[in-house]
Amino acid sequence: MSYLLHIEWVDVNGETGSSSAWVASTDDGLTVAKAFKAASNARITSAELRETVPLQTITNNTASNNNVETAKTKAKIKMRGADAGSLASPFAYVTVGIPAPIGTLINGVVGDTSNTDANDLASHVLSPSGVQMSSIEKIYYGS
Amino acid sequence: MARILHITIKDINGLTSGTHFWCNDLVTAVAACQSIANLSNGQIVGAYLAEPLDITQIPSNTTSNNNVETIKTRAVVRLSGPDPGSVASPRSYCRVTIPAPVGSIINGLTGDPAGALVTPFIGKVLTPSDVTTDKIEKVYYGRR
Repeated sequence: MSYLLHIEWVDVNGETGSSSAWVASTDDGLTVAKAFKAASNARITSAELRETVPLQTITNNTASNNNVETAKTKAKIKMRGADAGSLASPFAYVTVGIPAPIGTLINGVVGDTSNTDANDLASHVLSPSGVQMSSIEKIYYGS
Repeated sequence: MARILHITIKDINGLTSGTHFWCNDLVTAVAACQSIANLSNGQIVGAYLAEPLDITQIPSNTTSNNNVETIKTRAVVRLSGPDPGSVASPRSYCRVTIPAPVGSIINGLTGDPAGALVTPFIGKVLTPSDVTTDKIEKVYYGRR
């Protein structure tokens, strides 16, 4: 398993750029990031390790013209999960955009929140604070 | 460790778009991609999980004006490693580019491949075909 190390930079003038390199592990990612920094007068503003997701097992992964919408039009699925840690904000929310949505997901102002695939998607999504999504609040159009 | 799943989707017209969200692991990411494929008329053409790196552990991570070069100018470090699978092309190559390089890496047409600031990349950087690099071939100037 290898990872693509992606680094974002800013120089003393405020100009930004990026670099990348393949590494074997997360430990090597940090070592290489340190080597990059030692060799540059710029500052690293962020760095991440990217692991490629294999797509060959995904079924139905073809583009079709079954709906009028292009990839720029998205169905927005607003999801909710419990947040036991905060009384002031008792739920955690996430919104996922689906480009070129199928007609059975949304075909009007709002979509059906009981859609099986949308609920299946929610079961795989976490909020930025790590809360598991458990229900669909709303499905609507966005871009 | 939660990671961000980035998905790129192409529609029937060739137009591309992206979507992203947090998920737990690679298995979950594949399942989420399947759900996205079921919900979209587009085709998923790429997906990756991104894990933030803790850059607070990088020492002296500040900008400086010690050299005339901006971030648009780069030192290109060309590395290579053995490729046991091919007799015809016995080495595997890759390059890393260092924006706004310090003067001790390169200060002329080429830099020193044995320089203390470039040798730490050896053995840590892989080529795109997963070969571990064991040598720096050349250090030279490039641009973004």
